[in-house]
Amino acid sequence: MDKANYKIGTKEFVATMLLIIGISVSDDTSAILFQTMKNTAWMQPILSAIIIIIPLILLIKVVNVYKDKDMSEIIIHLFGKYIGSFTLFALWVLLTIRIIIESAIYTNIIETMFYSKTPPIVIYIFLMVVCGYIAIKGAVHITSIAWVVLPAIKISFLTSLLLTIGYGNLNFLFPILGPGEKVIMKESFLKASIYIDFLFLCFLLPYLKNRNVFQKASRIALPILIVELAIAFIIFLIFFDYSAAKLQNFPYHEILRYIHVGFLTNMESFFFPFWLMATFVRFSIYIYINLHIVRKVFKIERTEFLMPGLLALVILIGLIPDSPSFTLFNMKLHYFNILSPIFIVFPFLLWIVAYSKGDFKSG
Amino acid sequence: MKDRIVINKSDKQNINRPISPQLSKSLEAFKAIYSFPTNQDIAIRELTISSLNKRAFLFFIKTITDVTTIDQDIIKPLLKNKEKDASIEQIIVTPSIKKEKLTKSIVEKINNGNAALFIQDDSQAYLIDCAKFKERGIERSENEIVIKGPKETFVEGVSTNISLIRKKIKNENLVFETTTISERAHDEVFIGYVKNLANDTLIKEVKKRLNKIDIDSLQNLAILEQYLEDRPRSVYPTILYTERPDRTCTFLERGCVVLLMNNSADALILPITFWDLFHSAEDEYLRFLNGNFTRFIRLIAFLITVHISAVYIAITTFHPEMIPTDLLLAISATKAKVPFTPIIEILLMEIAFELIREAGLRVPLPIGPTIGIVGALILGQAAVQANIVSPIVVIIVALGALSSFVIGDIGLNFSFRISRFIFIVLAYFFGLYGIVAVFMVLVIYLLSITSFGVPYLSPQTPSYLGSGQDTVHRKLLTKRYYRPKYFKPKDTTRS
Repeated sequence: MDKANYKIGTKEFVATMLLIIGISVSDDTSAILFQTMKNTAWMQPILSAIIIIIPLILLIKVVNVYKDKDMSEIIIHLFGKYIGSFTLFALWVLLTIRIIIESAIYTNIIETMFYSKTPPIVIYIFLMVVCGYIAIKGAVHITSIAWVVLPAIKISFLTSLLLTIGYGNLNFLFPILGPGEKVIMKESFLKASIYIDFLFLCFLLPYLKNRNVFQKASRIALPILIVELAIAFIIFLIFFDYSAAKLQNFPYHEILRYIHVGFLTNMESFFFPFWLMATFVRFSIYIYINLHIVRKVFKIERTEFLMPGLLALVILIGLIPDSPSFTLFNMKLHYFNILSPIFIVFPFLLWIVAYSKGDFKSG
Repeated sequence: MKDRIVINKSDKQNINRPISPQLSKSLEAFKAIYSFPTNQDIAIRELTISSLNKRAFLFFIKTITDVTTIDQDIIKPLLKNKEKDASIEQIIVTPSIKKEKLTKSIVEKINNGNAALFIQDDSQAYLIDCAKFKERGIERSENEIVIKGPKETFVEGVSTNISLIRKKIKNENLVFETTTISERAHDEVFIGYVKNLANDTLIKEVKKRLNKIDIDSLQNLAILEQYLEDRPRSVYPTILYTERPDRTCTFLERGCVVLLMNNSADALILPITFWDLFHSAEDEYLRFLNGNFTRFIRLIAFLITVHISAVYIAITTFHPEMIPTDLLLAISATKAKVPFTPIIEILLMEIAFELIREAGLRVPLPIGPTIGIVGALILGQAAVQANIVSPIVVIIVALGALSSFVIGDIGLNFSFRISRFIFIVLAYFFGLYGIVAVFMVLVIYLLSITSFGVPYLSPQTPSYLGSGQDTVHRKLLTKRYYRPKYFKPKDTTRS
């Protein structure tokens, strides 16, 4: 599956992080936050990032200690064979559920916003097949393509945000603390799994040029992501008030329908291709990491033959909800709440076990 | 299918034997090999070297040797020699004389334009190099045109081509090796590289692939390219095919390997990347801003030529809300009379344009302009007026086809034309969704190709520090300190 003769560099890894996590601006993450945190949703990326900085630092420390092991080997080394395998399996299940929910949501976006007359199964199959083909090429090439398309996507995103200037009402930001500090803190903690892709991207460690790439990339990507997400949520808030924003599933695409440039009244199809490119990259890397974990847990070498099975599983389960706009929204809300504690506690566990094994002293 | 020549057993034995010292026997043998006197351009000059008191005969092919040299430098000195103890090398005044014993090697050398001198009671023949193959003069480049820069092109003779390259790279480290790659026609391929720049692994790999080729005869470099490339069925080329010596020299100085052959007015350069095919030599010759402007225009042309027909189909079928209302009304007014769906219109016009293009290449000069008028009138004007296609489709297809000419390299040109059709088909089925999907699949495919080990989209993706990032835009020439590292040259600094 991985036939490249070179390794992932910092640029490509940063691009991957920016695309995978940054694209959550455009799905219903913002709607979930507006529902729970009302008009303080823009604080969530900042506060969540502060909460996860320590787990992230611990994760990087643990990963840097075992320089020649990849993530699955580290987990098995630290937790032992049985608990380690069980942990990996649990991570795999979490990732698969994440893929199913996210891909169902994105198919819903494409279907409702752009292709209302097309049966969703067709859109879903096409999305999964293309992402599967890209995923088979290997992690190195997926991150390379992330770097190739990153400028176009970010420029289009920036343009779309800039075109919203002049609309909206700044007063919608107030009262600043909205529902109160307790709610803000609790929700920031519960929705920290926006950044859980940092944990899943650790599985790409063997393909990086050296371990420092992960550290450098996190340092560069995290601030940019915080700024990007916060500003985007502020703009959504200014544009629609929180009570309107929480009713819509996809505020970003609604904004695209509103803005216009001179004689071009409907701009959403201009921005659609760029958003699609980020979607393809995101699901390709998720599928790739999924197959990578399968390779380690079930000890299968040529996992690319499992690709059709995995894609069929995702598509069939993703199509189960009959009214996806409501079902998937609620599923994702609760799923965030489950994932966040896992994301925050897991690096602590790794670090504690590594520390007690004495691996930090021997270096 | 290989068409092997059927050699009789006796012929085979004859050809591998050494020549006979008896003059009459070797004369008979060579007359038989060359079918003399049936073969009209064989010349045999029998003479007696009076000073050495020996008979001799000179055997050469009239049409490929320089008869003046033979006359002045071989026959005259031999006949007029007065010294009794002189050796043949001292009598004949040509720059190179070789001695061969085996019939096979003598035949090979005579076929290459040498003249063979057989002397009585001598078991060796003397081979004198006086080849003079007729070839074209050096002309202006017709396919890779630049406004600012040298205008010479390669010709069909290898020595002229090598002299054009050596005119630029006056370096003792520039080496031209040869290997023979075909069995019947004994085609020689010249491998050129700069010894202290080109990577040794690369040179070994090139030679290995050349030696693996097992055919009877190879016409020219275009066919060799298809034997050598990494992926013969790929849409995108992995070897550069150029007719310009200046471009060849640029690549030699980066550490690439050049292949030359007789009967090929071009050179093959390997390894190359997508960006080497995309850029033209003129980008560097123009000033900084002019070169970047040209590159920018070329990038826009690339995007237009590949996408525009597909985007038209996608927008009119799936996303009509994208078009401003006035334009939409204009388009639908003209489309109302046309009986076909957008994809049929586009495919009709695309195929028509490809037909015009191919016909235009091959039409004889006298009727060229007439056919041009016919094409423009019939396929443009009349088709629109007969409501077979709408005028906007004509504009779109013409724009796309014109933009494809901006890409200079012929291999890449074909790649974009073929890719365009894939985009059109998927745009018909999935609209913009399909176009983006094909684009992503295409880019990841390009990323996974390597050309002799160099990733195809270098230096954009595997990022090499100091490679200059010579992709879409280019830097000031004074700021380029390093050679592109993805060719892994031995010396990476340019100064």
